[in-house]
Amino acid sequence: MAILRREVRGYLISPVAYVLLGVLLLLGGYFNFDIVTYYAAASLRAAQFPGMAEQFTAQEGIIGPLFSNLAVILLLILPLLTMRLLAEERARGTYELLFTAPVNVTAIVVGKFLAALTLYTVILAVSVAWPAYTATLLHLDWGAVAAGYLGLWLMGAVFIAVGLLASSLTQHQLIAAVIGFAILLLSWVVGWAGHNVEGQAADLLKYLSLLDHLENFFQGVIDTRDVVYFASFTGLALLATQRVLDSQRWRS
Amino acid sequence: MIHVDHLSKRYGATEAVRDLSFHVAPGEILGFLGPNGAGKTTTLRMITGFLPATAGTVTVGGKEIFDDPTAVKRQIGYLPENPPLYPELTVTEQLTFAARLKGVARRQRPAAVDEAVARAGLTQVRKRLIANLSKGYRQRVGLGQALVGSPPVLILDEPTVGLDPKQIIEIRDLIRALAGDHTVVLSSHILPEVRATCERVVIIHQGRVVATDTFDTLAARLRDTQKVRVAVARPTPEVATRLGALPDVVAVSEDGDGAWLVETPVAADRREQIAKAMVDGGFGLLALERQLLSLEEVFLQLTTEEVDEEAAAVGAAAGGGAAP
Repeated sequence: MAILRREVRGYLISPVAYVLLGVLLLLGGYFNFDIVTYYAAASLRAAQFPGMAEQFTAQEGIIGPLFSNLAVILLLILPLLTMRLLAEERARGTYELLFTAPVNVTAIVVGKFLAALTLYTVILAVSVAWPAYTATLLHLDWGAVAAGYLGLWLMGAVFIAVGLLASSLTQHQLIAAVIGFAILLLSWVVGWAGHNVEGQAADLLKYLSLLDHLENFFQGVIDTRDVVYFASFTGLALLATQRVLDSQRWRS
Repeated sequence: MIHVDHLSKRYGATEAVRDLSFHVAPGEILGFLGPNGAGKTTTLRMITGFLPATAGTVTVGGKEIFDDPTAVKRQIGYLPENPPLYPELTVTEQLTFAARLKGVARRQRPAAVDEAVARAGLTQVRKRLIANLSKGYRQRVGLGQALVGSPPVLILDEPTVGLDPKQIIEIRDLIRALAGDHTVVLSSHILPEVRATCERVVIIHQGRVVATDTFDTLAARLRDTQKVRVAVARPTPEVATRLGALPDVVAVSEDGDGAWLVETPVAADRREQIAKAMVDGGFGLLALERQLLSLEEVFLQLTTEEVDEEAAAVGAAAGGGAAP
């Protein structure tokens, strides 16, 4: 709890969080505008052909693409947000304060994770402005939007947990960011390899891919299997972080 | 209060600490002395649970660090060599964070922080950012952080390093004031430092204890030679010859300005004979005083003898290996 509070405070006063938030809002805002204008043009054209208009929904035309773009931006940004969590403590020597305090390693890992997750939740909350803007123009299914947000939130949890793991491996923040990004990118695209192989291997690769699990959410579908996938991915990364921190002290 | 038994730490092939044992009584201030790289920090880190030991046990207040690390850590306030501070926090925030980490109950936190601020002399800077504090103040914040929640045991790693003389005296006074209520282990590579604050000292060198004692017995035990300073009015080379001819004299050296230093075993005090020889020779004896071996010399002796031994052992091993 103490760690969570200090960490959130650390984010609030460090410029990094604001810069990243600003970048996210700028890019997200651009995509939102782009997608909405494109949709507007496309739907005009579609309206001229009877039968085609039915295929057009705001969910598929606006929310889905918007969230896909957001997910990619987050893939780039979240490793930057999490890179400092442990690497900075190690570089500054404040590791010594944490690990000689009467708290266990699990509490440290969970505190750090929750701090970043809190900030991320705030960022997502701000981004609700885009669907809200869209809703002023046409009818939106808010249930489906909420499903998309749940997907983004769960995906963010995975990103943060992986970023935390990367941050535990090094005392250089840049290296932590690169490692985190590499792991995430690999999990992102691992499904593509599924197209080239057959049978169980293809299923496995598809199952492992972040992207394939996200798509359901973005179409407004909440599938328990996807939730389980994200939750277990997050849990696994946190557990690995805890093991890394424990073993580092034995080896150092 | 603290029992360190047969503690060892190995980093790969090098042994940083070997079979180290010492005990600290409740309310005592123990000096942990050794040259740089002797294994002081490693040992303190093992006591505080930051590093696990390769072998041996550390018991603090009846709890073993390996069996119950949290119970041990709860009793310890630790100031590492570089105070672990967050530059983006203010002094009060840093100490509050430390209090929270140490599990000080919410209601007692402000009082615990106030007390630490007062004891570490931080009242004037408590609202300032740590990033803007001088090295001396940061050290004090580190000390205040160790004191938060008033843990029974304080482990201070080189608490005065990098401070100016005035700050050093203040920190020493502060540490001395802690005795009785707290059990303190303080490490240093500077002897007067330890002597000014501690009753008892553990001297370590190359990861091993070379002496454990109070300062008085330590000095007495190792004071096997004494020096007598002889000053004469009419110095000639003959003075040295005469002094050297006296029984039991180990060495004679010049001490500048018509003075010589005569080394004899403590057991054989030859001051009377020296005085007689000087008077008989007509050199005009001006002064004759006994100089006891200073603790610095004792410390140097303890820590250099070991090196010589080691060097000899290494040399012998190398020679043996090279032999066909």
